[in-house]
Amino acid sequence: MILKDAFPMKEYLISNICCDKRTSRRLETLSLIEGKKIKVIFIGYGGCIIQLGNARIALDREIQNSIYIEEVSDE
Amino acid sequence: MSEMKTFALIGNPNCGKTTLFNSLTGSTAHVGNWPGVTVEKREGDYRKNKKSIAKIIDLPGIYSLSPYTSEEIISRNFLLKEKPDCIINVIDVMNIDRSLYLTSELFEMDIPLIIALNMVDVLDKNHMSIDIKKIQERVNVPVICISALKFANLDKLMEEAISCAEKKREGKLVFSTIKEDEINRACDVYKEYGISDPLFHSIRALQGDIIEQQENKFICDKIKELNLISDDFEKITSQERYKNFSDEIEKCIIGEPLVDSQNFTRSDKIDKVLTHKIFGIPILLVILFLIFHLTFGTDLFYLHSMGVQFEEYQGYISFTDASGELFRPFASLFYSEGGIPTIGDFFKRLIEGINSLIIEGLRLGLTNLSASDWVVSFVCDGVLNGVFSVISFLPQILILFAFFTLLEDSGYMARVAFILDRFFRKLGVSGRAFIPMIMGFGCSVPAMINTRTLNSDKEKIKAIRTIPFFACSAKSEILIAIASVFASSFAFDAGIFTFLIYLLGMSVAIISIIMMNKTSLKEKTPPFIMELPSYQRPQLYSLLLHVSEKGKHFIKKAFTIILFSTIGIWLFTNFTFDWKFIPVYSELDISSSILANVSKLIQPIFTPLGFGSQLKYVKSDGSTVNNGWIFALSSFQGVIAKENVVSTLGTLSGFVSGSEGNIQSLISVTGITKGGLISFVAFNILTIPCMAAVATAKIELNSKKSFKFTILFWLVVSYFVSSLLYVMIDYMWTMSFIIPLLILLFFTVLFFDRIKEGFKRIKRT
Repeated sequence: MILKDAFPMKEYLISNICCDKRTSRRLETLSLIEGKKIKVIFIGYGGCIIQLGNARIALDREIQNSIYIEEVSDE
Repeated sequence: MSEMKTFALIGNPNCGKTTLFNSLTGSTAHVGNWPGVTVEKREGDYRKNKKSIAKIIDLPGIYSLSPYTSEEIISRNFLLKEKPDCIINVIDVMNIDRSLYLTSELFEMDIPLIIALNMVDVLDKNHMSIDIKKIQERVNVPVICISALKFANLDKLMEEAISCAEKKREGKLVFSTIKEDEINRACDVYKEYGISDPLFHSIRALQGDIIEQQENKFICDKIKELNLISDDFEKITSQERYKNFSDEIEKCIIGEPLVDSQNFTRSDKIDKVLTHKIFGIPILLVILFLIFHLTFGTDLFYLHSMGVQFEEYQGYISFTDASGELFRPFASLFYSEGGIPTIGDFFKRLIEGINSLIIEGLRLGLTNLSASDWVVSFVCDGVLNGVFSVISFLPQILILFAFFTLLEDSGYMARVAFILDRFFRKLGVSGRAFIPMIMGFGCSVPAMINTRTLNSDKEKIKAIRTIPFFACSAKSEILIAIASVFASSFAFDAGIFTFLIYLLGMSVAIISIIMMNKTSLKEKTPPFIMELPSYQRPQLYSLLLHVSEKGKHFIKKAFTIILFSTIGIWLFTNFTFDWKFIPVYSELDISSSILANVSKLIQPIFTPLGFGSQLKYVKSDGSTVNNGWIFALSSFQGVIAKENVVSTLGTLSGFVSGSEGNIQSLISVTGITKGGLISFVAFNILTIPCMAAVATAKIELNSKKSFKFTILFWLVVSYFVSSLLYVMIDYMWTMSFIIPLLILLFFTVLFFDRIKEGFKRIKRT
């Protein structure tokens, strides 16, 4: 599923990022890469805020639609 | 000790680098611009026992040394070309994972390196700990735990850094990688040509880095010939930096941050309110309203407007001035019939009181010493008035800065940028552009200075060009004065008039940004990715340093321009063409001055705007008189400071024949029409702002070409919009073709790319 369809306060794993080289490089430097666990804090106003480790990162709608996630299993 | 060594502070945004810089350098900090770009450059001296022993350069906050943003390019070029004696890599220990990407790149350079793990006080608060020994074993460079906020361990950091700077270091790979063989072979090529930092350059070459390809094209071509470059190099090495370095170091942090039972941190709880879907923007508007009210308001919390009665405060100092009147420089300082002043207004009155005390005191003294009238006027009305016209701006500028710095340091500003990004993106600018623009409602000067926080030079230029269209507090004086005239002369509600003019300014700003985005300043708005700092209590020390930096910068640069232009205007307003001085109490009046005559000469320029040579007033005896030059003169005076527009009209009302000593009667003897008066107001709202703002724009734009074009832009936009308003209001039938034409022009520019594409396709077929 795409990040924009995520539910607030739930954890997800980043499964794929589909954007241009410059943006994906930018995301990499923020540790937003495949396999990383994130928690969606807030979705709205044309963007979202996610928690990655101890950091809060705000992303716009365009990037929201480029990040694919999967739910973290409860095991 | 030998000559001072240079240390570069480098780290992610929000890692506490600037706090560390302020703590190490204190008042020795100097803020300028990196050459050729608009990014702030901060440097200062580290002092021990009152002696400067090291130079500290605060590099911009970056996440990596990629070639994509001006901050990254600046940092990279500084490290590779200026070769500081040691790099101090500041890392937020609470976000170590992400910080280490940049750290792993710094290890690749041949520059001594020391790691400062900052915010250890936060670590302690969360009952967490760190295995320093293990980290040091892994990285093999000094690692020092500090708290820049609490000034903890800073001397030890600098001692270690100074000791580190004495030793040589070779770049090394800190993460294991399957691409090691390619990297080593590329590195050998760089070593063959004697390039320093060969490891750093070789990795960039293998990544296909644009700057590397430009600067070392020959070597990059050689590497290409060796078939070492692959498309997946960057992706693989990025993942390995995290997996084989960051993740290992992160395991040395023991414990987890404290959260409550619902997994909310303090910042989350505050964000729930401040970034709320429905209440977020109203809360922002209330906060902004409070800031502007406390800075520029004259009636604290509208107590007087609500009916609370005050008497006039007389002040303790009074004397008989040169004109024989009782002068009280500090009357209405603490309160007046209009209410209690707000904090900004209080300091403004205080400074004005001191200014007028000095000016009138000196005037009295010089008069008693029988100095010539022109000497008294030159010293008091020319030089001192010019000097104090700069200083009188300061209190409110600094208070406005202080409020916005408080919001920035608390972490709220980042949320504001995020909330508004969606709306501003449609105009072609990021949400960050909102802050300097909204500051423009208070004063253009701090608003323009604040454009340094914007991402790109083009975005900064767009913001600087449109800030003056937001009517600042000085321009609102013009509005208020003319609104009441308009109301009584043309039976139109003053409040609605004022509101419509504000709306006009905002609309012109929005349309200008859209047009600039489609034409000369076209650029793709970069994606909004921002790390939101945790909410924290702003530090007074940091706030005072930051505000005083801005104040010093403004006074130093704007002072000379404003002083010389004020003296120039004084000269031309107080002398006739044959150099006769126009003293206050003689038969000659301001209408015989050089500037008034020049105004009469250039009056025709304003004819298309409705306040030019077409203005004729028919007196009761049937004769006609041309008093319309007052509008040209007051517009000129408005270039020094917008308040001068109203004060000039006020002064002229005492001299112009037929006028009864007030602005309303003055305007009534010019013959100006409804359209002409609106056009006059619109022109002064939209045109070149005051000298202080012009001086600030010149500093911030960093390019003579950009600055000249910006001045031209303001003149053209204000002239065009004002003339349109005059024509449409006084000749309403013209609306039937002007409005459709404007709409057509707007949409042509908006969809110009698609129209161009369409023509190309037709040509091809």
